Amino acid sequence: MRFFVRTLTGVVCLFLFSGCNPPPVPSEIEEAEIQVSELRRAGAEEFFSARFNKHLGEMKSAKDRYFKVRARLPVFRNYDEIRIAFQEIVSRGEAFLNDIRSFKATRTASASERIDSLTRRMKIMNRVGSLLQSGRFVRFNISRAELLLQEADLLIKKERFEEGQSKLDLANNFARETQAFLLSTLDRYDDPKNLKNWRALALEAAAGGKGGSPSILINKLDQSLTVYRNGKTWKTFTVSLGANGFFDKRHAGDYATPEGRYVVVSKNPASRFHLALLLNYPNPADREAYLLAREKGLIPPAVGIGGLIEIHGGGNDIRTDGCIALRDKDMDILYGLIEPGASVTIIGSLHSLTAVINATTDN
Amino acid sequence: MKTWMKGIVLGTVLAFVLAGCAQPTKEMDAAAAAVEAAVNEGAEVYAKEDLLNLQADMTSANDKISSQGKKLFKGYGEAKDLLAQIKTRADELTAVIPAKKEEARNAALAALDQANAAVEEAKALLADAPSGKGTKADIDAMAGDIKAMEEMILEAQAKMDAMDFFGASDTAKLIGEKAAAVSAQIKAAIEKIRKK
Repeated sequence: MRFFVRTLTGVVCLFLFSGCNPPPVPSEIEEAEIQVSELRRAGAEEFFSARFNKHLGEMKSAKDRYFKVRARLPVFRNYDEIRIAFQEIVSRGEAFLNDIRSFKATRTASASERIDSLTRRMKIMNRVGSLLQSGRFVRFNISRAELLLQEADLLIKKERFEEGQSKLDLANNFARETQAFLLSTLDRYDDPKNLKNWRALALEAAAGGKGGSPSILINKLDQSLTVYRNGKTWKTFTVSLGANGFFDKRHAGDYATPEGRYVVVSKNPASRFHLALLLNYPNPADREAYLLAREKGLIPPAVGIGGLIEIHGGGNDIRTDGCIALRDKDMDILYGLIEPGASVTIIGSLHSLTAVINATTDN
Repeated sequence: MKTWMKGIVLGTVLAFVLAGCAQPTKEMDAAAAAVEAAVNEGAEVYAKEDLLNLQADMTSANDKISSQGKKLFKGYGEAKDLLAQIKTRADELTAVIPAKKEEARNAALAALDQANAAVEEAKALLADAPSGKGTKADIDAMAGDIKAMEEMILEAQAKMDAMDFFGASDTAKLIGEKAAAVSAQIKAAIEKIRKK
């Protein structure tokens, strides 16, 4: 009997302490550990700290349960519940990782969209501002905004979204300030009465050129010259205007470009600006406006109405005294096509300046 | 064996076992302090990946300790080794960061110097540009560009002062590029006037 008891005790001891194979540790535990590192690298602590802490809390609780089971004798270890718990943690972690990626993608996309939109606006305002004498203020604001946008872009790429957004806000302030300045200086480009008049003139110009000689439409805000033939757009060129080109010409030496209906009165093949088409400025409407301005004392009595407004070559990046300038090679084409008597319509814009700056129009 | 002798043997064994049961708090505290020192030195900025690895190993060491806590016969040897490793690595990291910081500082200073030089060059070119009827507006506009760059240099300098060397470097590089572009524009404008 004593032998039997001893043998049985020995077998039980052997069984309990070494004999049976302990169940393997669930691989999900290591998977969850690696996932925590991934979450940290993805920015879980930075962007979703509360959710990340909750995740860590769940990990800790599951690990505690795992340690309790592991502390048992091999024969009593059962990891089934632990495996399920860690499977759930891994699955939630995967969803969390996806949420972080999606959050970052959304923030990046929205910031990029804002950068693009601000860049477009600044580009338009730079073009408009370059035709104003007060270019320094506009360019200062635009340069500051451009540099801020580049800084914002770098920060967004480094996933420093908050800092990037604050740079974008600053850039937006510069853009708003510039826009307010341009609109106050060029408020006539937002005047519905002017826009209505310009659109009517543009329609007439577009309908022109039917059967007869081609007609020309010059859009100041667009800085474009469009040639219509047989009622259809034939060609569009980029032009530059007077140093005060966005204003309507009133008198000699104001560097403004006139607006209204004109005709080509003569061609000059020996212009100092390559080739030139002389317009009939001042026309009767210009004379009337000039006299009215003089009566009101807006123009000093000694100042004349001016003249010699031409469409000429010399480049589309120069400041003229009020003429419309094209690149020489574009002028070659135009000069070959246009004959005296051709209609030339000069308008401010087809769309309001606000709409153009905010890119709410394709103009 | 006499009873008193049995008592001595049992006491010795018990003392030995209990001594092994104590958590390695000293090692834990030392490792945690070393990691914190690395963080305070700027590991998050200058050695982010190394810091993340250290933090992951700290979690692993804590797990090892927790797992032993549930056992009757506790063995903290593995955890102690890992904690010692963490401390050594954290100390090494802390020692290396000042050099990395200095490197970033020097790079930022160089970028700032280059930006300053580029802006000064643009200013000098603009001062010599012929200002006339056709160029006055352009010169005026470019003066606006330069003023904007000068303000940004002050911002880059402020970042340097706040020891944001990477930020200062980025801003300085952007200014340098912009200044070079403005200089090129001025040179092109001067060339165009000369040809006329």
